[in-house]
Amino acid sequence: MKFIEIDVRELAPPEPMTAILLALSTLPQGEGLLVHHSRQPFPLYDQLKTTGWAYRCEQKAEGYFLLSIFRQQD
Amino acid sequence: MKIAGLSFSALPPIDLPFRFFITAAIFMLASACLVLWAGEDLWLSRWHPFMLALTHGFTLGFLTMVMLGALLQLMPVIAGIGIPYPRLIASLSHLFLTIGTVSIMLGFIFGDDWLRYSAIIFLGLGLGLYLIALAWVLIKKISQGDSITGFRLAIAALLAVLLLGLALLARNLGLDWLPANKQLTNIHALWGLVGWADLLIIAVSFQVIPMFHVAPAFPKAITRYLPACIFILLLVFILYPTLALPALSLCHGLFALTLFSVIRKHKRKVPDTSIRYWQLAALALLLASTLYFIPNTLWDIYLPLNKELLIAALFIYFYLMSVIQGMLLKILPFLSYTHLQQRCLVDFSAMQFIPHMHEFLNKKHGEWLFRLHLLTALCLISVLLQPAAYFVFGLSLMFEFIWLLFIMSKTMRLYFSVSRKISLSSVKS
Repeated sequence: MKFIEIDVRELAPPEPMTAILLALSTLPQGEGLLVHHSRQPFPLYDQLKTTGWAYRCEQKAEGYFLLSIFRQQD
Repeated sequence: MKIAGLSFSALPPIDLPFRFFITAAIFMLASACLVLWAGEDLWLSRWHPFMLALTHGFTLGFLTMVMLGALLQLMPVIAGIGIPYPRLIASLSHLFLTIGTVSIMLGFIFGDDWLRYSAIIFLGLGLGLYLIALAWVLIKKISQGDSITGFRLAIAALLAVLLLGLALLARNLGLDWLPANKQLTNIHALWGLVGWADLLIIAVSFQVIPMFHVAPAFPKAITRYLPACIFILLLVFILYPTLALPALSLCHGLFALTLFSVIRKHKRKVPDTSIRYWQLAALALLLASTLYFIPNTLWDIYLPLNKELLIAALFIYFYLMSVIQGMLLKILPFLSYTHLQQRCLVDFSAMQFIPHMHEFLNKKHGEWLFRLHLLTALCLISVLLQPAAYFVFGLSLMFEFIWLLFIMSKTMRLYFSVSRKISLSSVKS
């Protein structure tokens, strides 16, 4: 799967969420979103699941997480 | 995480924290009225019944009310889990805490036994219910450890403060669950201010300052050991107060210096009122910690005001209150925006309805709040110097919190109007 990457680590809330939403709204079918984040956006996870998105989050280092978001059917 | 189909990592509905915040501001208006009505007598000593009513108006009516409201949202954001049955627990806690705080304040003012019974029952129920719900969450293993340790200690302290407070109230009703001992009220006061309010703020600051101000994380040595160190010193205070207090002052001086250091490295160089609140808070904490070490003999010669009251005023009004207001200025727009944004995951076109963040909280309004806060804080010092100045302090306090109430209600009204637009547009499509 091809991933579009965005880095929101230097953004203050709510800009990370805005960037993620904008990227998801224009995400081509069959592609995923890879987010470089400074924290796990917990409240987003439930919302993603109930709106047809799946995700995986991996901690790379202290204060650095890689979050991949893709459509559940993909 | 999920339990039987319920998910606790989602944010609870926003009207829940909103009601805590609005009530808190109203309690401060009530406190301002108390200051204006009580006159100079209130300032005679910290044990005067009117002063006790005022301090509980501040600590229960404002500080605790805001922090419990904020925790409803901060726990899911920071720890990935919120309290179970949030609507039921938050609504009941809020109602009981409000009734209990009104009862305790009036109980101190009028000395009525029924009011004291009411305070015991409702504060016990209101805080107890919330504490049980929080403890249920906090005893689990949760990620992002250092802040969670701080939360656990703060909650433990609140439980101790609550039990001690209820026992002290009961003494006034002839129920001698505890022996008569002034040290017990000192423990209640110190555990309440430092164990509950201060520890919670410290734990929250570890997350909130790096998050909202794009600042580096606090030094590991501080996040790992400071909360526990403070808690241990609070335990030591029970038996050896003269040993514990200097050590606590040093700990807080250290935290203040760390705050300055972290804030200085924040990356968003846009002028930000919240940052100024943090700087004011750090300065006050540093000053309070330093003043503690001035010997009483020197103090009596050069400083014409009560040392205990000055340090308490710096700690409560210049530090705790500043941090809480600075956080509210960040949390109010952030929560409003986040809740609305999450609804856009269902329908991306709803994003067009969400106004710019600045519309949720006008920068100039925040700046004016800071100025009013500073003015009130200076008036507080002047009352300590000259009790006749109580009227100026009372008025300034009144204006400050009318303004905060205005800011809050403006944010909330915008939230609900945008929320309605999003709902209507999704009905149409």
